[in-house]
Amino acid sequence: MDPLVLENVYHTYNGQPALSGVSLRFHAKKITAVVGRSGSGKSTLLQVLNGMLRPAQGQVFFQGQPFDYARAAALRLQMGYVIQGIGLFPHMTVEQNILINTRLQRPANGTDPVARMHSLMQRMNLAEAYGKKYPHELSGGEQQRVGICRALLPNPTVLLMDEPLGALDSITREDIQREILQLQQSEERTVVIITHNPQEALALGDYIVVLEAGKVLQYDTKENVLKNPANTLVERLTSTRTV
Amino acid sequence: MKKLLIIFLATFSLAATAQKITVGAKHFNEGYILSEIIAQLLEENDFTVDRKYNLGGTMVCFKALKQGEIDVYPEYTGTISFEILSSGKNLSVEQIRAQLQAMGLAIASPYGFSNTYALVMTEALSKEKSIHNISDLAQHPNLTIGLSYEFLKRQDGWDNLSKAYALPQVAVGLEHGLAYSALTENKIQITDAYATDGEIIQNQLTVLEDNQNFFPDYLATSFYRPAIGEKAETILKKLTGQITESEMQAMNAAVLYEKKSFQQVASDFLRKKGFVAGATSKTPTSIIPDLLNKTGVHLKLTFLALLLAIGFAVPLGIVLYWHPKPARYVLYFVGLLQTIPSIALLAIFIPFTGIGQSPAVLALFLYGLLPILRNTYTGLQGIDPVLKKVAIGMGMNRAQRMQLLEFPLAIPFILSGIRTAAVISVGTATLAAFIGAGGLGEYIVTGLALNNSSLILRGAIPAAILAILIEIAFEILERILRPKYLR
Repeated sequence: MDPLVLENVYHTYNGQPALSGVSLRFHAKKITAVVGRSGSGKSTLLQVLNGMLRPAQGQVFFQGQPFDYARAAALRLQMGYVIQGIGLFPHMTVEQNILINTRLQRPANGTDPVARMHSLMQRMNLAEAYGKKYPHELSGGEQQRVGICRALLPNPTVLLMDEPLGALDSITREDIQREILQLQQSEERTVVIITHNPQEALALGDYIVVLEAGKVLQYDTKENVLKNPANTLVERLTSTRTV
Repeated sequence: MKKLLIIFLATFSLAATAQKITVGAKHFNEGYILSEIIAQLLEENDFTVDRKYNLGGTMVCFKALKQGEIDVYPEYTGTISFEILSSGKNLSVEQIRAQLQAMGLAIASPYGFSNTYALVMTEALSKEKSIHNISDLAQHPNLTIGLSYEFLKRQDGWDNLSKAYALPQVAVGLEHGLAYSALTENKIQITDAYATDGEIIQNQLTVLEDNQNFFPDYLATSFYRPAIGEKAETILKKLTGQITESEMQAMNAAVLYEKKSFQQVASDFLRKKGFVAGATSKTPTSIIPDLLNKTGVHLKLTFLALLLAIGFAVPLGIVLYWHPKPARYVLYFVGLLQTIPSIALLAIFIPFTGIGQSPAVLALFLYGLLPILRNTYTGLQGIDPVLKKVAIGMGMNRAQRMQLLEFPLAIPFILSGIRTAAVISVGTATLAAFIGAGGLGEYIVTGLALNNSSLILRGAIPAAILAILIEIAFEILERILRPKYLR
């Protein structure tokens, strides 16, 4: 069963159509990278996926069920959420930030959140000593690593990432991309990652969605998108790989 | 049967404990002295006396008496006729008694002196302009007339006086205690006075002759609730015919110019008249314990009001943050409360809560609302939207966002609102003395009434120090509570 499905979704943002008839079936346990220019509707798409925006038309399915907006907060607890602004809570230490989920819901049976936190920090190359630090004492890359650990702590079935590496320098970005891929190998998960950077989409995505003016231009495996770009626009969007 | 039971219970309770009588006072020199004479006389006769002085003007005292907040205070027949019974003419003692009976109140027979109102000016100016009676004032329209607020508003006060004498001047209001220095410094040329004022001789003032007999008699007497019982009534009657005008003038001057306390003056009088045995007077209360006591009351008023304001404004701020549509109107309304002058706000509650600490705490509470509410609301509003977005995105519900994220981040703002409220509260609490709430303001109010600047400072300086100490205490508290990420 595909955990995330959009059916003919329409949405307007500030009077402008942001999504116009988007239907997407995200593949389970794969990374799907949604690439597009600014204003293509990428961010709207992600917020529709986790119920923060309710589509004007069309439907969202989460784990086979139509998204129940009355239970939106409870459903989001099962989706990891990472954004460009990171949004670490400034009054909490790194550990308190990562463990925040344990204050929102009871940890699943048989899990040890603290052990999981240490394992995640290790895999994201965060020294254990960072746990006692406050977010403002960390670099941007370190902060986003903490943000990813925080999202993954309850081992969610779905991880939604909105330009998570957008504000980072290219070296840090590549490091974190590598860490994300390694994590994906050990814990297969349905990941949707939004990016304006084709290079990043190709580096991370098993599948690529090309979004333009609120419409899906192409949705295929990375290989097929590279081999058979749907049109010149996709070609242009993906051609940076060779640069 | 019910009546019998009440009588039985009343008798029983009288027998069981010394009866307590609450003595009030109008806040001016003579009011304090006469009230203290009554109080000490009652104490000498084995009553327990609760003193509620500084009750402001006639209407505050009268309402307090009517509602049973006080049992007795000295009042004047003219004031009762015109202000309380609104009869439009001066009534005899018998007429007053008959009318008061319907209200369940009574007066004793007059003490002996009449303290009628009078207009006074300096002797020098009176000679220079040859003004000798009130009619002469009509020829001098440029004289500045400064009158006590009560005199401005009374039926037997300025409005009708100026009509009766066809006076062209427009009068300004000022605190009576300040009027004499304003006269001698020529800031004003005419003021109202009482015939027994000690200042008249001291400041070389001339009393203008009331040549049209406008002012009624003001015979001082005890105004009381008959519920105090026959024994107490008999004691009040002892004062009948005992105080002459010159004796009253001398007592007033003793307080004002010999700087004796009014307790001392009252005690001297009672011993001279043989109402109190023993040669030595009671030792007056020493300053330090009294100051500490008043500071304690002051802090109690301040912090009680502050706690109430926090308990109300912080949750309200959270609710407004969740439902921002009415926020503007609520903040406007609370801001409006802030613009009501303190004295007026304090007085507004008297009909509902009586005098004393409850209306004072209520008024201080209302003053504290705005800074706390505004800072809670804007503190929550000002939180980084990225944090709010990520909190929603990770599945926090509204209560969890408030508890884990929004409230902790708003704490520094809320604290600084509480700090502002605390400082306002400490300052405004000095005014609470006007409605009998006590505190450091009692020195200030009494000092104003007695024109005694050292007494005013005895209240003003500790109040200022308290305000500074509270500032410092909050600064330390803010430093302790400041989240680690801001250090």
